[in-house]
Amino acid sequence: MPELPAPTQEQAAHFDYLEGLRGYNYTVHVKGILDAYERATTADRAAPDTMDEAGVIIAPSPLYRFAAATQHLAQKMGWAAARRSLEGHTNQLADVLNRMPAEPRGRLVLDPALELPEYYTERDSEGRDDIHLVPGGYWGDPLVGPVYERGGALYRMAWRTGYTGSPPGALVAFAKGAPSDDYRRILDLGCSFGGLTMALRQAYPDAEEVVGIDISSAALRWAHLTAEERGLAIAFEQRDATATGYPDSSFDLISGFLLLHELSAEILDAVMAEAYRLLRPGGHIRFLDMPPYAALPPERAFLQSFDCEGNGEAFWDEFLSRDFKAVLRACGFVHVADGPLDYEEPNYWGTAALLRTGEFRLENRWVNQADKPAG
Amino acid sequence: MSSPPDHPPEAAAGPAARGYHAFEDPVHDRLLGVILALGAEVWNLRERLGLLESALARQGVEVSALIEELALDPERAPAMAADRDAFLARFLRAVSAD
Repeated sequence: MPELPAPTQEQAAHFDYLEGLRGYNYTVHVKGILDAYERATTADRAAPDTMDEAGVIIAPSPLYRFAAATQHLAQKMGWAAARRSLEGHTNQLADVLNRMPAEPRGRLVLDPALELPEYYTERDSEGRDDIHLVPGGYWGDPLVGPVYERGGALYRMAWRTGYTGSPPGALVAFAKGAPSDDYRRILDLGCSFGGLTMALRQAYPDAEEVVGIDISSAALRWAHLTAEERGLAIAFEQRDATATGYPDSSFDLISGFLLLHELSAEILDAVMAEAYRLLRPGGHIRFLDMPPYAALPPERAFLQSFDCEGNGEAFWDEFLSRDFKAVLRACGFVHVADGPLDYEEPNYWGTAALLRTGEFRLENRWVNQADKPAG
Repeated sequence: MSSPPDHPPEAAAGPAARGYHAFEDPVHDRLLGVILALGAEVWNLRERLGLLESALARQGVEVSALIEELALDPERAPAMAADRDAFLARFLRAVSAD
């Protein structure tokens, strides 16, 4: 990725503090919530069957309130701190963002006429928090790439080492886990900053083309710069995944990372129908996202639901409560399957905020995959 | 005595009432936010002081042992106690104002 301006001592101390605060919140407070829940349900000998029943036990506890508030506030503080550490360098960053490679291996295709959907841009007018609590979301701020790079690493408890400095091993493992070793054209839907797109390129170096699409031009610009710096030939194009404009049967692998839970049921249905259209017969789809509530014990499902209100994830509950495999079958996909990503990473904190306890749990990364009938 | 506000509590709560709040009264979320922000400032000061001592040591100026010595110096104790009391009075003024 393009090098970011070094933070000052004060900014670095702020990042360290926030990382430590979150770590403490997870390993002590969230762990404490689960321990208290276990004690309560063991004592009552009536463990809840549903996440709502588990929530009745967990939600009123002061420790849960404190942990939830701390997580929410730390998230806001993190984005603000990341933004503040870059604000004194806007000219330098503008140069970085506008300096396109002279001989790019891939390409960046932006569409200024693309109309961004309201669900993506109008959170604040509804009194809701912005997505992931990023002020202004991912689309309006030209600095969103650098802000995400720094703030996202902070969220992942790795601000000093970075997160996307190389495609994370889990994404490469996920990319390599597709059913075939031989794909010609690969599409990454809702690619944002290109983490999975780059992993796909590395996993399939012989593929004719790897394409990442997103509706955020700022995210695509950062993805393009990062990929070019790593020497990865990727086409990043600004397109809406519900209506991409590509011809039928254009791709033989369509993938996505942390996209599904960002979409309403209506939009998700449209994206899956479009994916079906874009796949060649016999092609594969494969998504990495959150585990559905039904795959988790009730207390963990309740803690996972925090992100919906607590982290600006408007469609989180809707998606994680849904039978996504039924959605895929309804589109015509076959061999529909899901399950945890088979990739052990003991230092992985998890993505959903209050599922983080400092202990590795395989199911925190969840794979959905299916095939288009060979015809 | 001030008159009661003529607007509903949710309006009085201001921006914290928009979006997520974990406590029933959003004011508590805001207070926690103040505490966490103060924590960040305190950590920064602690780190910076530690770095300052290390920087001085690298320049051949060993102050850490002297700081420990001064902290227990009986001659400085009255002045330090007075400073502390003044700090606490300022810090807790809002509590003791009545």
